[in-house]
Amino acid sequence: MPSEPLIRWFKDLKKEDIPLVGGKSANLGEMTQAGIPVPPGFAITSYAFKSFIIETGISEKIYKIIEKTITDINNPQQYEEASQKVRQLIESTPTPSKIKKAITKAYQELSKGTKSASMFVAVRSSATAEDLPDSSFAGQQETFLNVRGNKNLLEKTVKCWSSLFTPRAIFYRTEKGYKHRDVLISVAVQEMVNSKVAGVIFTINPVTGKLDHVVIEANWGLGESIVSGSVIPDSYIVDKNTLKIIDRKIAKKTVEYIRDPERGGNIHSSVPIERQEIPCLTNEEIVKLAQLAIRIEEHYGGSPQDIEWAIDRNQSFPENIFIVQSRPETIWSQKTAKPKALVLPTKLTAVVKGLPASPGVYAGKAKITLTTEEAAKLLKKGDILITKMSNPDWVPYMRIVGAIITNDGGVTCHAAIVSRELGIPCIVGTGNATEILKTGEDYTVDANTGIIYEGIVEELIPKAPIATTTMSISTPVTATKIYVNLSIPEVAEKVFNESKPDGVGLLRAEHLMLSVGKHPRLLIEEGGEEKMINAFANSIRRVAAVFAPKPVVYRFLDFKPDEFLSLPGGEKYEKEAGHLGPNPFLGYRGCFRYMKEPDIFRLECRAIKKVREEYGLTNLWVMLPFVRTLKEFKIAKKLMEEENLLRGPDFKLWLMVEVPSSGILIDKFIEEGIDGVSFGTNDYTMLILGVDRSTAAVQELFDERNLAVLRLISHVIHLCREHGVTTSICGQAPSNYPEYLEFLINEGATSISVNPDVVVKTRLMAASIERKLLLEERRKAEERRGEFKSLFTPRWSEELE
Amino acid sequence: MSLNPSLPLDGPKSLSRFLLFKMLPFSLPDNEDIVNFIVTNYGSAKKIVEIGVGANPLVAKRIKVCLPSTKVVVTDIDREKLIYTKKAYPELEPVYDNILRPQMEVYIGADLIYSLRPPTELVSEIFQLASRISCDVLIRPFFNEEGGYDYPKRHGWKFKSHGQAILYWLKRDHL
Repeated sequence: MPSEPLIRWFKDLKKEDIPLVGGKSANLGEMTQAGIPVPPGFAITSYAFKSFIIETGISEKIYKIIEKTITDINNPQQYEEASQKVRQLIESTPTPSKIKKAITKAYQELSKGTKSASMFVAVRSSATAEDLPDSSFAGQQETFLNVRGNKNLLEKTVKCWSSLFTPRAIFYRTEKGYKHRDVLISVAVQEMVNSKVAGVIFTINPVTGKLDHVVIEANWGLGESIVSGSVIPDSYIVDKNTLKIIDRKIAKKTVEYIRDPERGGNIHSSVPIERQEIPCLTNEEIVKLAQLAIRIEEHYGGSPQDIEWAIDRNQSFPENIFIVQSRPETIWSQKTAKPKALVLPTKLTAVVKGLPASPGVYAGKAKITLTTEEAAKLLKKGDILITKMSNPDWVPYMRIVGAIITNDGGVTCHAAIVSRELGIPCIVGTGNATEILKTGEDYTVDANTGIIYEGIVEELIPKAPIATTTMSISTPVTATKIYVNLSIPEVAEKVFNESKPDGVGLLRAEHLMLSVGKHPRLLIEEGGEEKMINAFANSIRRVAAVFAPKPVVYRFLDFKPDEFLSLPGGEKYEKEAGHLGPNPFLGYRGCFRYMKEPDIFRLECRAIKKVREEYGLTNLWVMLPFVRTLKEFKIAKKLMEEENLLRGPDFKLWLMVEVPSSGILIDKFIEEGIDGVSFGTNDYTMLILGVDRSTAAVQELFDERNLAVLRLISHVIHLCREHGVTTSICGQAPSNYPEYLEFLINEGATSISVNPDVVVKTRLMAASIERKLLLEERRKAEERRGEFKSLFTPRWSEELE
Repeated sequence: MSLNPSLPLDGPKSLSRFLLFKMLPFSLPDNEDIVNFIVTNYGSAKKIVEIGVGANPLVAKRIKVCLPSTKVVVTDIDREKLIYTKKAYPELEPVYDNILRPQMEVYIGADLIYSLRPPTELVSEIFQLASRISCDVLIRPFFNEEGGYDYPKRHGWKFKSHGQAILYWLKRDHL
């Protein structure tokens, strides 16, 4: 183990020191250097913790305890048990004297220049996950305020160390996939501001996600009362651009935390009546805090921040304002979607009201649990958790519930932050939910408005996941179906909810193959057939299930040999096998591959069969790409039949028309048996015009609107219409050129398949084109019937005369 | 969010799961040209991010070799592949991130974000992300039926041919 410092001072710390001192201290260092008023202090490095567990020999014991105790990752009680054992072990092990000495020496140095030889400090832990930065979770570990004296400091340091193993921290690492031994802990020791008022600032509105708001929450005494959510604080909103205070809510502040001058530690004391309902900040202070917050946000490149601040009792404005910590706001800065305001339905019985803290609506059974022990006994998956206030130990339970309601807290309290991170509805600051609501009863939690209703209110519950873009209610129904092109299953649900396509006109297989991560031939050589079938079936199923009963047309693999080279096996089975020629576009690809390597094609067929039969998703159809000759087509079709994929009323076979020969001979393909065709305009154009898509020098020739291309499309559509074969297009031409869409609809194409971002636009365009065509037809019919109208003369024109 | 029982990775036994990727790196014919392009144009970059690195961080690795003082971050939604990357390429910074819900702190401060053969439906997400943090974007498209020349047509992107590589490049000023 290389020797590293046990102690580092804030003023010397930079972002790069995160692995050694954790994000909290590194941040304080950054801010100190940027001229933000931060109380001085030092970090007990993660190396100190590492030395502690290694030199005392408890390191291995710790990880063994966790491994042995947690056998079921979904059982919160096992986390509790493991935590208890590990923490006891850490707290009962004496700290090596070298570390003790380093800590007390730094503490004495910090206390220099103050009146007393040992000053009050805040002791906070800060985990250092060296590898994967992920969302910062509220109150990850321990904080001790008003700590004074060597003995106390050392004791709290060990407590901080052991907090690396709270049930919630163990759970969090397990869930996020972190290895326990990769995560260390550092401790920040910072001069304690003896605050008269303190609180938190968000440089983004944490409820609405509005970026030009600074939200300040404040209470008398120490900020801990707000962070822990045990009070309802004052709340002020400042406009970032004008620095005007645009909203203020003065809460009744009955409790404050103050420093115990005798013993250190905190006293929870009641606020005298005359101070309870007056604002705890002056306008001057509000604006100054907002300015500091904006500066900090700017310092972090505009990334929204979650800031803790305090105003010192003994100094005067503005020197008395301190920033205690700042970290990136984790929820809204990741979202672009904003909660939709719901119209309040009538005839509902609202039982409790509070502050909406995490948007959404949820209905379920209420469980009032005041302690985690009760929670362990009572809570079931999907219940509504009702409690006074949550703290980090509650997180394993919060993870399984459907909604959270608390008596106390503001929009920045623990329950609020965690529920936003978990994406579950949450209402805080209800005052008395634990007394009014009843365990076992059904309620509907509307966290968009902050109201809890009696019973299950069907009309409030979202039927499908809330769409992130609003579709106009008057979205037209078009005779031409508007399909979507997809290549990864991860986006299927989002695309479906946002733009409601009529199906998937092209589900590409290439990215599924890339996710499997090996050349299919290599997989087969290694006996990995099942792996490929399952991987494909799982991905295809995810898409087909989202869209059912709407059709999903899977296109068999059409890799060009060069694109395979990034996969293990690619070199051997493409290059060395002689598949890679000078122009891969015209090379070993498409349907020809199925003929040459039927075993790979059969695996895809089996995946399709599995989805259709085992998962019952018969809305899944298939399409053969890049078909050059009838012979290839016949062979592929025969292979499919051998794999029991037979055309029928609910299983359609499409032909992708992208080689001119397949367009010219479309009548022969129809005779052979197809249900639909889909044009791949990119390759079709390339091959009709003889323009290489990969040569930049000839790109100006590439135009899907060329008459030769249009004629070959028109020819195919007409013959298909005659024989009841559907026609579609999955190239980009219709979304690039409106006239192309008109051409296709006019010719009689039955569907258009486009990329997700243009589905809605294409549908609107198709609707207007269809109406135009109807109008033209009517005029033509009138003309045919010889119904020529005389010159148009409205009645009012006669009156005018 | 679901629990993933297969992680974290403990002990050599679980390493067998990464055998699949052991034979890497394999490279596309234009990889070296892509690296050249980035190194030439972003020689003084502080931070470069590759989105969706998958199991093949070869381009990122080469960039890091050429620009040792640049922070090279690679993202993916597949944790196993990231852990592999972390072990095999300690000089890179693998980060779990879902481009549909990007964590801004991963990207903030980047001079360039790039992606090799991203699924077409993610291109607009990458584009939006770049515009939010105001950095350049470079995309090496997937040249199957839909790839190719659509992005520049639809977004007015700059088409760039560099050696064998065909790239779409958009500078932050045009976002």
